[in-house]
Amino acid sequence: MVDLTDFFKVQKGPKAAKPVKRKVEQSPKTVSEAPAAKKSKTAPIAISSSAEARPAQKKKRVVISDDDFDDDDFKMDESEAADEELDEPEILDDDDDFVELVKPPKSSRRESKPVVATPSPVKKSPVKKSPVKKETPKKPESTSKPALGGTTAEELLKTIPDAVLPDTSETEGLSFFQLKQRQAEAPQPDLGSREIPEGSPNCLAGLTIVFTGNLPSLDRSTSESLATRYGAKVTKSLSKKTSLVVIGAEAGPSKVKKIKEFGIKAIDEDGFVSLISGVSSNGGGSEAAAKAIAKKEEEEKKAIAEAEKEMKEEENREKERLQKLAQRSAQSGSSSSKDSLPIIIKTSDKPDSEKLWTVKYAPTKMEHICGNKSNVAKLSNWLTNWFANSKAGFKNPGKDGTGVFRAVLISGPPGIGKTTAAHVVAKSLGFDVLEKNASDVRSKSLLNADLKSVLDNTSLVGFFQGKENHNANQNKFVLIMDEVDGMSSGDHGGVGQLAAFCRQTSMPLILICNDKSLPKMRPFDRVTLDLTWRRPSAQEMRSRLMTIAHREKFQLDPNVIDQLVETTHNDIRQIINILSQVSRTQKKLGFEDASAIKKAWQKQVSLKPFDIIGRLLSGSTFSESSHMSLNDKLNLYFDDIDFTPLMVQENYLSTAPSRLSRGSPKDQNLSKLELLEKASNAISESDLVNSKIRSGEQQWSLLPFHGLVSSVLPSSYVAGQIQSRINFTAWLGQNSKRMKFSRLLQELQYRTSIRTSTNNVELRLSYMTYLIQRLFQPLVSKQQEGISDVIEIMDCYFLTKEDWDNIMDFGVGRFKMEANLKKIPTPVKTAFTRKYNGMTHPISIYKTGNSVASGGGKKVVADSEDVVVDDMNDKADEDDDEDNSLKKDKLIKEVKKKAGGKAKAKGKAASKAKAKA
Amino acid sequence: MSLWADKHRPKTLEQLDFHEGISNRLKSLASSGDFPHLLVYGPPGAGKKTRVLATLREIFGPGVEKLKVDVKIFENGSRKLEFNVISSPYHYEITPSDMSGNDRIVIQDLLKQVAQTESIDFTRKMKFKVVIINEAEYLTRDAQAALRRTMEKYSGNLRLILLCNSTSTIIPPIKSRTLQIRVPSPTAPEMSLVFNKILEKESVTSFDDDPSIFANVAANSERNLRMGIMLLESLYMNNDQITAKTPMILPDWKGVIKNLGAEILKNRNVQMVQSARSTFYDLIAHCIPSKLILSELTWELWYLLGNVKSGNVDQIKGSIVDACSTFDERLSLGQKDIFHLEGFIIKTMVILEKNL
Repeated sequence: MVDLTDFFKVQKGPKAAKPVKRKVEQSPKTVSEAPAAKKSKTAPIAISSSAEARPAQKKKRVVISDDDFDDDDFKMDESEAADEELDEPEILDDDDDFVELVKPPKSSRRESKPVVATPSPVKKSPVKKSPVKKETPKKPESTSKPALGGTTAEELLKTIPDAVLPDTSETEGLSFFQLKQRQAEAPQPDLGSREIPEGSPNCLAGLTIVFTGNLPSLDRSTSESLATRYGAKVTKSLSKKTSLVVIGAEAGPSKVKKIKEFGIKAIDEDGFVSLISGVSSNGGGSEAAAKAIAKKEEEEKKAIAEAEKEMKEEENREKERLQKLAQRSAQSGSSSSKDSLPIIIKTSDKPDSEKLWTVKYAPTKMEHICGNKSNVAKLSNWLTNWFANSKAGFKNPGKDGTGVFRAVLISGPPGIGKTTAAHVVAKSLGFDVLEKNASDVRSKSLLNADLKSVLDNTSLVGFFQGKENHNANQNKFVLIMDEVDGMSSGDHGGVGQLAAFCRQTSMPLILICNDKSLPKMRPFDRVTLDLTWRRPSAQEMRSRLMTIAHREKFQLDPNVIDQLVETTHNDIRQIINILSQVSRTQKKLGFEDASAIKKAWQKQVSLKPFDIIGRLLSGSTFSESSHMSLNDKLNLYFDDIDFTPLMVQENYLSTAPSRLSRGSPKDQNLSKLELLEKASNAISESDLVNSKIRSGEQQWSLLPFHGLVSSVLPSSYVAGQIQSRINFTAWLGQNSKRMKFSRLLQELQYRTSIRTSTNNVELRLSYMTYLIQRLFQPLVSKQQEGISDVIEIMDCYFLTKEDWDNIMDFGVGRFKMEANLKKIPTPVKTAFTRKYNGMTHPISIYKTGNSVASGGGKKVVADSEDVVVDDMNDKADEDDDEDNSLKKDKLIKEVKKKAGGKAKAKGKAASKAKAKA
Repeated sequence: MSLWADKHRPKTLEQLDFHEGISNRLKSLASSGDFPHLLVYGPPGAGKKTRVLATLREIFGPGVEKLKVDVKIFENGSRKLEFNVISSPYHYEITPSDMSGNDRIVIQDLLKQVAQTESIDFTRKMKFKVVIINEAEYLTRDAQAALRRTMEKYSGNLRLILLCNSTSTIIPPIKSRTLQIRVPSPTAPEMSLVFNKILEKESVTSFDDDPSIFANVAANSERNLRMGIMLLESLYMNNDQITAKTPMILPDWKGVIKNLGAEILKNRNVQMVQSARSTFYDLIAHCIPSKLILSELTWELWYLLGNVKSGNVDQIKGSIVDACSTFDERLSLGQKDIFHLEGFIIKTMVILEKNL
């Protein structure tokens, strides 16, 4: 159907006017074009008026900018900023004018078409391209010039003294873990002691650096990022290609061996620092550096070429789109007598400038998908052969084994292009896509209603698109179920139903989820082809990101990409969003900004309880050189506020605290106990805070305080080497065990209370031990004969066989009966059970909710049993009598109701009866 | 065949063996025709409940002994609460700790229900019904507040008997509305008297005629008569002949705590803390109250330290009791008992390690 809202958007215009508006804002050049457009008469008055209204000074600058395109880019920013306020009111005016113009709809539609069709962007791009092109070859020129006189890394390295290679014989015999231990024991880097060195850009280009051992003042991550920042390649293992080793204390013996073997230059931290500060930019123009730079340029060039290609395609598309639009409007203009039929505008018809970057630069071809090439190939192979396989009844596995599956399950972390890949593959193979995602309700019944029928259908989309678009393939379609793991409790039975579809569908089905290890994804095992998407590496993303940056005229330092990739955990979507946001305010993204961005966009990854404890209890977190602030430590608690305190409590005993004072074993023991005492005291206090938070007072503002007392403070005392496996908290299990036993005890108390007249605690403390004895001993000592004794006691206390088992579970220490129960011979056990079941037993509890009769009936059974069992007949009689009196009592009550009702006025009686009922 | 402690429970006020003064006062109360609300308190195993039930029997006759357990259903908003009420034709017995925080609703509902139905048995001497509230110290503040007015408003139909170990958590308005009766633990000779009577009734002859046996039982049961009778019975069951030297069969949990105390005194290190933790978990899971564990452990250490000759024992004892009181308070305020018990045990270890 016709989308009216879109129609109005186009007609009235702030949206349609926007591209024009922005263009006017963005590039002063368009201003110069505007008059030309005006002359052509197709341009709306709005544009020309706005162009004329621009302050004269601006025009001046336009003239200047014609001389130098390079400068233009930068001036644009300034002018934009400066003129923003000035532009604003004018634009508002534009809108007003526009709306008025629109009012006679016939003319407006005609006008709206040229508005969008303003040729400026088309013209602009070729003009714009040239400066960038010029710029790139310029770069090495300008930078290599000073290099002629600068120092190369090779030259400087010669002057830096070799680091003393440690003697490997000492450490040779040690295992990996012993070495790790030694490394951990070695002095931690003292981070404050050295300023992070500053060097000229790209000064380490062309070098492959390996870091090993602990550097005295830089920790590993800092030093590595430092090296990458200045253009070096950092690898973990040594090879012949390694140009430099930075060696620290406790370096691995195998590495030292290799250094000697390959004769690689090894320097210490001082050497590394002087290298950074000494070498001039771009590696001082050395050969290796030049090569590396050349390689990078190659990459950049490729990206740029790609960008240009895409831009051309885009232009073509844009043209096509406009043509179509024009056609349609013309058609509708001619066909409609008045002004009714609005134009159908699909989102895909929107100009690119209005789209999000992630949409705008979404891959449209399979080659554009970053990473996961093999998976994409597999997917496309599967989809291509789907119908062939379908004919074969999914019996033929095919080359890659995909032929037996009717459905595919794509899993992987967010933002790496799973959905995109599915769409792109489907589109490129000519399938229509039907997508359902978490925004649709997908319960069993709805799936049945919506999808079941669909799965047997063919697509009609092509049919309506006219003949030229229709091709034979297009009656196929693929169903994409996105965010399958997002099927929530609202989607009753959806997962099961979907899995059922996977087995029988006659249309290809692509399921997408984030985490296939979830239990609710279990039904999809084996019925789907499992494709796990991996995070694309920086390498795979680089060219794509560079392309985007280039097309947006945004300077992006390739080294920054690595940083961004790391920050976002390889989430390409987020990187594009970051770039899009940054591009609003600046035109360049250098290394300096990257660190700021890294901080601001740091993806919050919640740690799992085990990792939290690993971090909290490790000595480095609390060492003086740790660069975790108190807040960072507290954030560990906030990663999981429920489990962290429990896990700390569970594991704080199993560390070798780094605060431990050295001395004799006895002193050490005392010192450790003292640390533990402080920690346990804090933990104990934290429980008081916790009960303020969780109980009636609900003082949640105390949560940070609780975090400090329960987790950070205790860890600060005991943090050190974790000596055993980190255990999961036992408290939960123990607590539920306690609940279970207290429930059992309650039950027992209810049953026995008539005889014992005691409460739960006393029942446990005084009765339990002796009850266990009396219920257990006879079975062992007297065997079969003991059974009747035991049953006698049980009946006396109204205990059932189940209670007997429960009572046996209650003992602790010497009376832990698990082992003792084996002393009862099996025949005795079975005889006991049989005998117990063969008798009737008194019951003490019956529900008042039941009718009096049934309750009384039960009681009668109980009493007759009493008569049989009890040897004191008179007592039984007494019981009976009293029971009768009790029954009488009940009956009296009953009678009273009725009698009262009859005697008194009817209305009253009714109300009374009601009240009593 | 029930345990001796239940079998030989006195049924009437006359049968009670000790605290004659209290028995007499209760008797005169029962016969006076008026009967105030009672607050009966005292340590466990002193005979509170027995006295109260005997008093009720004095008032209402043997009918009070005909007990049954009813499952009553109360509605708290949309939730249905089920809990058991022991009742006879003349009285109800409830235990608020069963109701875990819902005791206010139960008290309001049940008491009103009971109070609003009048007995039409005109032959009865007393026209009121009695509600016994066990473990009254665990009544929440809300429930106690709900009791206040009910006690006055329905006093025509309803008498309350509150039973508790300590009155410290009972709010003053309730204290002022009740007659408070303290039932202290029996003395060792009084207990011996009871023991003798029981042995006579059971016609048991296997006990040596040595008063120190009874004294020993009384000491080991901490003058809890119920526990004492249990001990006596288990002695009889497990031994052919009982002399002064026959070892006592202590309740399971006591043995565990005793062992723990001895071990702490011997080994003070991290492994010990670990094993203490699992012991504590075991005790707590098996429904041994944490406060009891704490106090028993402290007493055990106190006792064991008496045998220690070296070191500054007095100071150690002082510090341990200090720690015990600190963590006892925390046990009341906190929720995760194990945290506090562990805190106590490590603290104790440090104290011992420093001073021994």
